[in-house]
Amino acid sequence: METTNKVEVKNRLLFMDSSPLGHVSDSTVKIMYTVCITLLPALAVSVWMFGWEAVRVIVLTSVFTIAIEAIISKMVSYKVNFMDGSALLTGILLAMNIPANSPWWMILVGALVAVILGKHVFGGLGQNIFNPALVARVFLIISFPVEMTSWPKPLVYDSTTGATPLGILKTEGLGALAGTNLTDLAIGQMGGSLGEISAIALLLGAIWLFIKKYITWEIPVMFFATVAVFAGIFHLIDPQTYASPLFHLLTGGVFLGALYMATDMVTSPMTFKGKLIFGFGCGFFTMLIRLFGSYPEGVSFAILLMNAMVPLLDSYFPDQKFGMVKNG
Amino acid sequence: MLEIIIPGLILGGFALISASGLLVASKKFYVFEDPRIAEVNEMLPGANCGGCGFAGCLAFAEHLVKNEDTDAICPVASGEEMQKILAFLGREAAVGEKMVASLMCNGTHDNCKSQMDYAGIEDCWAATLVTDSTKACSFACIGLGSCVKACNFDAMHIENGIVVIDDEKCTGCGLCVPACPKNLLHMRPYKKYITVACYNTDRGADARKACTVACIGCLKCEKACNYDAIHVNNFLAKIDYQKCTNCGDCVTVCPTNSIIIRGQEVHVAVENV
Amino acid sequence: MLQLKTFSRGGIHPPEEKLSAQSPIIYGDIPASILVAVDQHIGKPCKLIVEKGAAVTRGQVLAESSGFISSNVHSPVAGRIQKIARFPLLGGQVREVIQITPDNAGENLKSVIDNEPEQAVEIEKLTPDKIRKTIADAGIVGMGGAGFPTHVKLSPPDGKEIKELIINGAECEPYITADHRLMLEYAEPLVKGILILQKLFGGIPVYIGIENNKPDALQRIDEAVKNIPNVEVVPLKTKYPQGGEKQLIKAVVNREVPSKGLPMDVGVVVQNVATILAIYNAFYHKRPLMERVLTVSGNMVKDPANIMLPIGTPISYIMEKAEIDKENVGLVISGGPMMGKTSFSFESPITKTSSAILFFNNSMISKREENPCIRCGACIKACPMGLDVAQYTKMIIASVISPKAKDSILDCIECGSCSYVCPADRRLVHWMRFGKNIIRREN
Repeated sequence: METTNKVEVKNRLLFMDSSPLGHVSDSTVKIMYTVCITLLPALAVSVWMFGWEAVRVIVLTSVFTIAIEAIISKMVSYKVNFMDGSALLTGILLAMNIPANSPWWMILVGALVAVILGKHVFGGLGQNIFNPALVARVFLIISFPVEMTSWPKPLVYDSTTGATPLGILKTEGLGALAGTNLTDLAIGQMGGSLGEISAIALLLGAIWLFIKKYITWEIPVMFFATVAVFAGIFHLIDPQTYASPLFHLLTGGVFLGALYMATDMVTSPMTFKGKLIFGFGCGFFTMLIRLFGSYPEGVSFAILLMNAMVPLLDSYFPDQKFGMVKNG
Repeated sequence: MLEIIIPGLILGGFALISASGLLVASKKFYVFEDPRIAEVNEMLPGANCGGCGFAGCLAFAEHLVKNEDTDAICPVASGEEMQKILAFLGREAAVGEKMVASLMCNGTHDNCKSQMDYAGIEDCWAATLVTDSTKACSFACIGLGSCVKACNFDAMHIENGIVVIDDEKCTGCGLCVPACPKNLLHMRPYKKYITVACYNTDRGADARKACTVACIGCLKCEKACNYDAIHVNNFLAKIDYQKCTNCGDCVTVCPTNSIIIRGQEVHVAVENV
Repeated sequence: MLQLKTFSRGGIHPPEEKLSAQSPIIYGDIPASILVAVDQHIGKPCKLIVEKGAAVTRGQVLAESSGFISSNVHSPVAGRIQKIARFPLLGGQVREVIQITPDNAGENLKSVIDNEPEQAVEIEKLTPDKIRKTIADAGIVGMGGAGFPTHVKLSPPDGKEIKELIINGAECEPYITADHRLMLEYAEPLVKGILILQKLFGGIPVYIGIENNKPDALQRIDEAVKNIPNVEVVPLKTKYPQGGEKQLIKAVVNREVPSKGLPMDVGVVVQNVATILAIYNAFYHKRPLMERVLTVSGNMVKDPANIMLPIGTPISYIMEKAEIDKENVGLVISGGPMMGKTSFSFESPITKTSSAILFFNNSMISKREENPCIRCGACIKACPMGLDVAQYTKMIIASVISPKAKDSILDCIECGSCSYVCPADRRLVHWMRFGKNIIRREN
């Protein structure tokens, strides 16, 4: 609002402001770029697995999201800093959620959906209810099912495509996965989107985020635990039909989802209990969709579902205020 | 064919049941409302400003219809409009004069120097939590626009550090008066356009040091006024609008130009002087 | 080493910057002009009882308390009243000030104080009413920063039993070391002051809470109270805002003051060490509150120091003595950087509540714009009161505050932890203060 017109003050005057006058060195920009940097190991693995195609996707998504955000910043009434790292982060996360052989037009559609439908229709940074990259991924899965399910094979570097381990599990059953090595899965040697393949690389980046306290343990731990327990129960009941908990943890987007998507600050709860329930819900819906749904993978749907619950979680499970304890 | 008929029948059945439910509810829970309330509401300006002291125009209309309150007036409606409404209700109207808000300060950045580099939230009340005033005069208009936010009629704008009021747009609703932390906004009759643009009650020398156009309480205006309409109290002149005739004598004698002429009549009046 | 106590929820660790911790307290000179503010406390304003031109003596009452929650103001010097006018105080407020020209300008405060030797006080013979009256007459207010009249804090209403007395030596604010030096250099007087308060409440246990970043003070006070029954030093784990009354009570006796409540609701009275010294002076030297020790620090100060000065000394005098370059000072803070208030005039006088004066150059000034909240939750985690600051500030900005939020907003202690950690540079504390202002105006 243009209510003030500050004048040039000739004599230098003393600075007046409300306390506190100190501030930590953290800033939104720093947080965003730090998260981007911690995604580098996972990106490196994807380049190792899928070659130059992966680089192409990463560059295209980043350029598209930043360019679209820059155009949006000229069109909206609120202030948008398109270089604050949030657009870049959305771009990188989008890249991690699509196959390495995605055509450029699909990437463009994804970027448009992520930035406009995912973020700016709600009022820009901090206002969005859903994780922009996931909105784009789900939009693409529904709109372009063929392109979004023909995953390039790892370490082949040609145009041959195949299904993800979860896809095979869904269509052909557990028997078809007999030769799968869990170590390969942990490293990321499997078909899949750019970012979801390597659990180890994702964990490596996330450890830095834990150290910097940009993410907290509640959501990832609850997410992993729920997936493991859910899968474990069914595996115990019928090991012939249902895959082991470890298989469910390492395949698909559980690591990417739990460490980077569900912990997105804007779209996750802020209170302790809210975070626990949020993590539980993500894991629960993921497994529900994986085992009983028609899609092989459910992480993105689960997180989007829980994103919608965040305002409720925040207001129904607030942290306890000081002075509410009865003193014995 | 059956695939269409069956869902049609089911949905149609639902519609019928719901409709009869609504019908029963509307009969059973019917509350009588005086139809005049809606009509009075139509006649009101519909600004929903709350200047009358009620929660919006509809609440005011309800009050008018239900109570024989002749003092209640809509500050936005003109006297004629108000008369029309009261005539509709079969009552005598007390004709109100149009009032406008005016700022008791002329401490623009040129007149009253800024004293600090204020960097807090841009709101006058927020600023008062950090300091009494950002300007040299501690009575001065802070100029961060709390009143502008309160105004529903786009009648107030910040210009050069103080708020400027458009008399034509001002409806006299009075919402800005409590919005000013320095209590600088006062209502005056629209036709009485001479105001003392100062609220400083410090001694003359101190006031003059803080602002070039401060009222120093010199009593010249009091002596010059032929109508006993301006009085100095606590080093500050105050105009009694019951007596003021817009003659402009006080404006001429004021040594610090703290008495000024407001509104569009400015040019005319100054030429006459 | 035993488990160090601290409060459980929230809190931050700003850089301590206790630059003047090793500088012994020095005594200032009487400046050429003293500006005594008429109101230096929270509560009812004082009634001015002197006139321009009158001669005053040291210790004479200049403004009289006008009710129960009010406090006397005394002249710290003998001299003549030059002027009574409104004047900017530290903290940006413009209030009535009495300007006195001292007769003995330039004399060192030490020689003035040495003229008032310690007198014997028979603590056993003091009655509670006598103790409260002496404290009220001496114009003692909470010297940690709030300025609440001390005698009011010491007069619990009927039905409220005081079970513990806590002495606040936490001094959690960065830069400030005045209380630290007081504890080191005035340990015995402090103990005497504590014993008076202990007598007032009938020998209740006394805990002296000191953060473990002041090991020398911990040791010194521990030695001083070794042989005194029912007085105990409680070492605290350093964390901001430990010096906040509610946080200190939680840390020391592990009880939570209820929302909207006072420490006396959980049977506790908290007093700052500087206040205790003022109480000691009132009894043993018959001296009302006229001087105080304050820290002069900040990046514009070459030799950060702790200095005892008469209340009413203009900060320009301090700047002159400390050789601070006026041209380059961009920010003056009265108090610490977390809760202190900024000042816009170099002529503003120190008051009873000025625990520190910090001078900074432009490098400390941050005019960062507010960015959108990214819901990181850092503010909620840092809040020692467990408030959902992010949500409340959004309500305040939209000026739609839910009734539940109103109670919580009024619980804010304005410690600054949330603004300190906010990565989006949101002015959370200022918004919360603004919110309190809106709520108070509505009522």
